[in-house]
Amino acid sequence: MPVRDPEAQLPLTPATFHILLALVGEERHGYAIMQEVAERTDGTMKLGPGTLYGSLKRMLEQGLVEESDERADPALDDERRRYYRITRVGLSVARAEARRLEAMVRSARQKKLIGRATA
Amino acid sequence: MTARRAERAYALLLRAYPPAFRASYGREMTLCFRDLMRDARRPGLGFWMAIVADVARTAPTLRVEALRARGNPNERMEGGGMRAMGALAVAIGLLQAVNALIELKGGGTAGWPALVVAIAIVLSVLLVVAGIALLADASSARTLSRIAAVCWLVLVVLVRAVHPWMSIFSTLLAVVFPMALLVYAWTRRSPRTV
Repeated sequence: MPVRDPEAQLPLTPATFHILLALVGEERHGYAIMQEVAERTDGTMKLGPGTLYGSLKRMLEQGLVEESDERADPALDDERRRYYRITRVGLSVARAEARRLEAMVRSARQKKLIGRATA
Repeated sequence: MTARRAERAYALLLRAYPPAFRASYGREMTLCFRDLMRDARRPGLGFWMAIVADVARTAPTLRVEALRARGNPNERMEGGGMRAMGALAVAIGLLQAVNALIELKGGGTAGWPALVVAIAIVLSVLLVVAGIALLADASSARTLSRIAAVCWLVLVVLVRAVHPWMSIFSTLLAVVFPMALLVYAWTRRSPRTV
């Protein structure tokens, strides 16, 4: 069922949040999402195919992402791949999650658990 | 292990996922696996352990989700036999209702048997309603079919208790049909996955 209230979806699982981040501003196919997540997290988070497509299935049901079309990725091979893009609802949910995480980091800083972020 | 063998092994692992999920994402997952294999260059034990762990972590959850979806009473049923099953339910329900009415009118019942006949009439109506729901492809068809079939089976036990002379044909019809309806209601459903 599509999401109405973005706040009601929080907290997101790390996999869901990273997939949404990977799709912000760009359509990607499954493997490209996996690569983007691994690069963004310096390899600390590696999504397996089961985690990726299990998450995508739920995200499609909730209307956070949508399928765009099937086309080949010239960088890989001639196989046609399904591309995914973030929806407006997905963007709202990702923003809400980012704000939630930001507030948590702020709290951790106040407690001096972590230092100030360096530019 | 060659790439082809590895893909075959991965296809076996994919069988841990629910069929509807496999149908939707199996090909894409295999493509991802192929890409992972290519980028790993020499996929060793660590690679396979990560792949197996990924399947072991996600397949049970998706199986549970698929089972829950199957239990969703608002889910529509599908399948070529739906109309036939609906028509049979209506026919058997009407037949049983007429039979029970004749028996009630005949006055050959007293005490418990009269109550059983009255219950039989109510259940016949329920079976007819379930049959009509199946014929109309209503969202409540699955729930109604299950309720009608279970109630029907309970009635058969009751009838057998007070009418031990019930014919084998009648007993078979009264047991086999609701069982078939139950199995049908459990197995025939539209996939919820997009």
